[in-house]
Amino acid sequence: MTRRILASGLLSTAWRLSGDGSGAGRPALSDLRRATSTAYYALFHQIIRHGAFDFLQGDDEAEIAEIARWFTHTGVLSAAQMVVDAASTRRLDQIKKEKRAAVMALRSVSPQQVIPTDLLQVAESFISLQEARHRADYDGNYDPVRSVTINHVQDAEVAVHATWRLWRGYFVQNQRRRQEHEAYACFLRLALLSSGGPKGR
Amino acid sequence: MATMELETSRHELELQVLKALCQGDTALKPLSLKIEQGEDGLGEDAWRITLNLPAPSKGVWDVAEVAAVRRAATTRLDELVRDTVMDLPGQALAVVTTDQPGVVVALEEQPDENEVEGPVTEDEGLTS
Repeated sequence: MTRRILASGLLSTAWRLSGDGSGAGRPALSDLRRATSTAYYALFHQIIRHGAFDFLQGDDEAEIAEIARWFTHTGVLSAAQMVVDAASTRRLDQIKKEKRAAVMALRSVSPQQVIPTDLLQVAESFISLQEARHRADYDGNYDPVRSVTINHVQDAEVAVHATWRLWRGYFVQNQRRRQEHEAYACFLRLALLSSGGPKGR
Repeated sequence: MATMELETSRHELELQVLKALCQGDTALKPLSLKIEQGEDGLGEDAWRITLNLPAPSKGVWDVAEVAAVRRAATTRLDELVRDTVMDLPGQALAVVTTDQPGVVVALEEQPDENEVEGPVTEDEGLTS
């Protein structure tokens, strides 16, 4: 039996480890490091799960898990950077050549060439959390301030909720929400392409 | 000489970004900031901005306010360096911290008594 990796479960763990609301006591550094890392993984797993759904709509958890494994951390990061570039005020000729087609694709989803706020939130949070997770997992200079860790968990939670809204846009009869879903789907496909596409384990 | 000029420019960037954030419409105003050159997650040279914020009032900042000030910082930096020699190929990133008194900092961890640190010689090895 293939069990789902749910963002909501990972977020609960991250909240617990961050010590939010636990009073004036000082937290363990290891707990803060794992809270930041788990918060990042909550967002990463939600994105790749949606990416798998987008690629193959079905309810076979084993297939979903298999496709989700095609996504890489750098692939999703690359797509997130494309979203931030697309949302910036940079003209196409001010964007790196290899990213221009992707930026055009993202901008062209909306007639006004506007990147949905929720998608920009997801992209910015992903970029920021991946860097934070790298520091949490490997760096002796991880910032041991609890408020900073809690901000990581909050950031992940807000971004995960944004992915849920973007995904649900597919099912509603509202043109703006559908466009927002399309922009999210474009991001998911760019993430898969940037990850190198289908691969075996 | 080129290094000195770059340092001067980087310091100038810090001042200009800080000024923009202090005069801007974000709710959170950094007390200071540091801009360093590093690498983004894809290994490209990129700017990294560390924003030193006031201590949060109830132990946590407002997540939207933090996101807003981070975005304002990277946007202003991008505007300043665009089409200059300081425009780096990687994605600029802003992170937040605080050095203000009263914030909760993690306990320094101590190794377990059997947690040998440093090189292990044959005599010191955990053989028992």
